[in-house]
Amino acid sequence: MSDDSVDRAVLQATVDRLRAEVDGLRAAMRTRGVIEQAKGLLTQRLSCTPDQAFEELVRRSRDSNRKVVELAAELLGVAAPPEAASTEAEPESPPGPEPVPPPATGAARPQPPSDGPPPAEGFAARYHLAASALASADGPDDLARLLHQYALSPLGAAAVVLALLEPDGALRLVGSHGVPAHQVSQWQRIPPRTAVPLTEAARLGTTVWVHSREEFAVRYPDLTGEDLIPGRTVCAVPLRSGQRLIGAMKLGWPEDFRPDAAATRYLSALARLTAAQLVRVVSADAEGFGPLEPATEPWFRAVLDALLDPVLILAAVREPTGKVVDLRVEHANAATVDMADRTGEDIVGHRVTELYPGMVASGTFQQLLDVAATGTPYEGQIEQFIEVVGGRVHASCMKLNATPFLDGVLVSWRTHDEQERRETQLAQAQRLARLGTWSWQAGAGRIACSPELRRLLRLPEGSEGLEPGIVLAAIAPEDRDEVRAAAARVLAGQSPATAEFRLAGLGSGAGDTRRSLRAMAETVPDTASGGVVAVRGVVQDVTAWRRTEQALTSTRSQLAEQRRKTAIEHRAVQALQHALMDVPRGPHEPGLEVAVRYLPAEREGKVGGDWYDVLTLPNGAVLVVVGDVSGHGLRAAAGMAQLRHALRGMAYTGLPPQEMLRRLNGMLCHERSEYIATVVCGLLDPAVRTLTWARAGHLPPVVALDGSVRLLGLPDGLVLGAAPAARYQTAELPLPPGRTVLLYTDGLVERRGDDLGSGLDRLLRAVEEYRAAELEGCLDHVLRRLGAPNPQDDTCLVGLRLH
Amino acid sequence: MDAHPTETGELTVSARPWVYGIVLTLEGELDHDSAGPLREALDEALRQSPEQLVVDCSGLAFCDSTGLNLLLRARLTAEAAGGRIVLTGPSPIVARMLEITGAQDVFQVFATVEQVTAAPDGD
Repeated sequence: MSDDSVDRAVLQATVDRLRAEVDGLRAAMRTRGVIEQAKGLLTQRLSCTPDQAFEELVRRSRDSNRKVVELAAELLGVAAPPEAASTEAEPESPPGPEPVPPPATGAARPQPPSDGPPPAEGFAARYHLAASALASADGPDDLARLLHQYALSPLGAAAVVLALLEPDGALRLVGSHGVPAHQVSQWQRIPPRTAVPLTEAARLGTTVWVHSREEFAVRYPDLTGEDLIPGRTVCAVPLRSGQRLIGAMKLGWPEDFRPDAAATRYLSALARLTAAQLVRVVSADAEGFGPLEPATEPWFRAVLDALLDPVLILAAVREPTGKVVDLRVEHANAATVDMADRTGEDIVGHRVTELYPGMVASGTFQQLLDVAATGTPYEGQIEQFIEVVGGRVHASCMKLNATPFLDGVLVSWRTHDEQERRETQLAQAQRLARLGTWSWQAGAGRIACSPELRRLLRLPEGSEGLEPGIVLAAIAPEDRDEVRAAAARVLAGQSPATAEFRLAGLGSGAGDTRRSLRAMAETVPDTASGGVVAVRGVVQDVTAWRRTEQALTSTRSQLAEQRRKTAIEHRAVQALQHALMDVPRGPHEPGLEVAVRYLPAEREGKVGGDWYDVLTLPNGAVLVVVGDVSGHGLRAAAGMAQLRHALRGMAYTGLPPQEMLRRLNGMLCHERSEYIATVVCGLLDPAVRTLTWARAGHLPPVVALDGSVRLLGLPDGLVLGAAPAARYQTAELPLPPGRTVLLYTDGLVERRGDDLGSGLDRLLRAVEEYRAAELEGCLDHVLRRLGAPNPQDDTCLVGLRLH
Repeated sequence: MDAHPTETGELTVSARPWVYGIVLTLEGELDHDSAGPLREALDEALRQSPEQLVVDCSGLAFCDSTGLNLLLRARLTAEAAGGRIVLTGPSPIVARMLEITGAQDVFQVFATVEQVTAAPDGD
C-alpha cells in the first residue's frame, strides 16, 4: 500500500476511534452516578473491592468495545441508549442459555442487542420459544433440526446448515437439517477462498442474500454442480460469539423469500442465539469437533511458546459492513519481543495501528488486512522495519510472515540483524584474507561462489552460481590441467585436494605478474551410500606468499654464493699469509730472542691486512716490522704483500727506518693506492744494543725491564698513503739485557665499544703480571689476558729480547 | 662511554648546508661494513666542491682504518679542489685514533661545528 491517501485514511480512522474513546470517557465522567451504582452491584456480586469492580467494568468495556456507562446501565437494568446496539455490541458472555437475552420487553434484565426495536410480536414469541428449544439441543445436527423446527419453518425455510470457522479460514460443516446427505458429505470442508455465500458471510461478517438461482449463477460463476442448500432463495448469516466470528449458517427457501425489516432483525437475533448454543454443544463434545477457539487452548499456547520466533494471534476488527479495518493482538507467545522491546504483556489487547504505525506507513499493515480479508497467506521479504515508540526510533531488519487464522491473522517474524551482521563480518574477513568460498552440489550444473571468490577470479559480481567452464576460463591455460586433475581426484574420493594456479591474463615468464591462487576442496560424503553429496572448498590468493617465497629463495642462494666466495677468499688469504710469513728470516742472530704470534680474525671476511717481518740483514742488523693495511680480504692481503716486499727491498739498501717509511709513503701516494697502512719499523743493532725505530700511524711499542712496563712515546709519523709530504721521526731505544720489546697491531688492544686507552692499559698490566723469563710464555699470557683472538681483526704480536 | 657495542657497526650519515660549505653528521660506528653511506655522502658533498666540508664526529662511537682511509681520501680530493675537510667533536676513542695515526695533523679538528670558521686564505 503505497498510496498516501489510503495511509491517511487508516491513520485518520485510528485518530477518530481514539477521539471517540476520549469522548466516551467524558460521558462516563458525566454519568458517574450510573457507574457508581453498577460498581456497587458488582462489588456485591463478585465480592470484590469497588476499585476492582471498576476495573472489571473497564475491562468489559474494552473487550466489548462499548461504553462503560452502557455496560453500567445494562447491569442495572436500565435501557441501553439506542446507539449502543450493533452487530458487534454484545458483551462477552459464557455460552449457555442463561445470558441469552429474551426478546421480551420491559423486563428488568439486560436488553438483547438489536437494531432498533425488538422483533415484532410474532417474532418475539418465536424467538422466546426458539431460545428455550435450542437450549435443549445436544449436538450440532440436533441444533440445526430444532432451529428449523422452532424458528425457521414459520418463515418457510426448508434447509439449515451450520458451519464453524477453522483456524485457516476454512469452514467446517458441523450440523445440518433438510440437506441431502451427499451434499453434506461433499461440503464437509469449504476452503477459505471458495466463493460461496457461506464463506462470503464468514469473510465479510455480514449477511448475504441470494434470491434466485439465476442471481446465484451470476454472483458465484465459479461454482459448478449443485449448491449445498436446495431451494430458490438462500441466505448466509455470520455466527458470532461475543465479537468473535465463529462461523456462519446458511438457510434455504424453496420459494422466493424476501425478508422485511422485522424478519431481518429476527434472523440476526437467531444467529446470536444459534452461535451461543453452537459454542455450547461443540464445547460439550470437544473430542468430536476439536477446540472451537484453539487460540485460547493451553496446549496450543504451549506449542506457540515452544517456538523460538515471536508469534502473534491477531483478531480482525471489522466495521459493521464486515470490512476488516484493523487487527487486535489476541495473544502473543513467550518468544514475543517486538522491535521496541515490548513483550506480549505490553501489546496484547492493543490494535496493530496503535502499536505499529510504521507498518501502516510501509504498507505491511495493508498486507496483514488483506490476509485477514482474503485468507491468502503473506510471505514478506527481509526488509527494514522502522517504528517510533515513545519518541524513540527503532529500526530492525526483519522477515515477517502472516497466515490466516480464524477470524484474523497469525503473524510471525524473524529478526535478521544478527545474521546480516555475521554475513557482513564473513564477507569482510574473506575480503581481508583474500579468501573465497565455494560449493558444488552433486549433479548441479553450477558452482556456488562467495562474492570474494568472484572478485579473486575477476568475474563480474552476481549471486547465481558459476558454470565450471567460466571458472576454468579464468585460470591460466597452462594451469588448467592441474585444476582439472585436482577436481578429478576429489570426485574420485581423494579428499581433500589442493591445486595452485595462476589467473589467465597478461605476462608470463620472468615478468609474470599474474596472481597465484590456491584452491582447496573437500567432499561431503553421503553417509549411506559413500558417494559424494557435495564438494566444497576455499580459494585463497597466495600471490604475496609466492613472491615472498621466491624472494627468499633468491636471497638464500645469493647468501650461499656469498658464503662460498667468502670461504674461498678466506682460504686464499690464509694461504697467502702463511706463504708470506714463512719466508726465510735470514741467519739466526745469536743472543737475539724473537717470538711471534699471528692470529687471523675469527670471522671469515675479516681476515687480512696484518703482517710482520723479522729479517737479519747482511750487515748484521735485524729488521723488525709490524704493519696493518686498512680493509680486509684479498685486497688487503695484496697490499700487505706489496708493503712487505718493498720494505724488505729497501732494508737491503741500508736505509734507516724513517727513510724507509717516507719512501713507502711516497710509493703509496704516488700509486694512489686504495688503502692506507700503518707500520712500525725498527732496525735492531745487536752490536750496539739499540733499536732504531720509526712509525707510520702505528701504535707505539711496549717495553718491559725488571717489572717496569711502559709504552714508548709517539714519534711523528702519519699513516702511510694519506699525504705525500708526510715526515717521519726516528727514535732510539737502548736494549740492555733482559729488556723486552713488544710490537703489535691494533687487533690486540682494540675492542669494539671499548676505549683504546683501556686496551693499552690491559696490555701493560698483562706484561707486568708475567714474571717468568720466557718470551714465548709472555706472549701467550698477553694474548690470553687480552682475549685474543679478536673476532673482528687480525692480531699480530712480536716480542724481542737481546740477551 | 655512551656507545653501545655492536658486533657490526651501523652508521647513519646526514648532510646539511652550512655557511661555509656542508656539514656531514655521523652517527654510529664507522668501519669496513658500515662505510658505504659515508662514502656516498662524501662523494656527493665533494661533487659540490664546498669551501669547507665539516665532518661532525660527535656522534661517532668508533672509527677503524677503513673509515680513516675514507676521510683521508676525501681530504686529498677536497684539497685538490681547493677546499678542506674539518673534523669536529671527535670522541676520546676517535681522537686517540687520530692521534696515533697522525691524522690529527692533516685534518683540522675542532670541538664543535660552531667553532669552525672560514678557511684561511691560501690554505
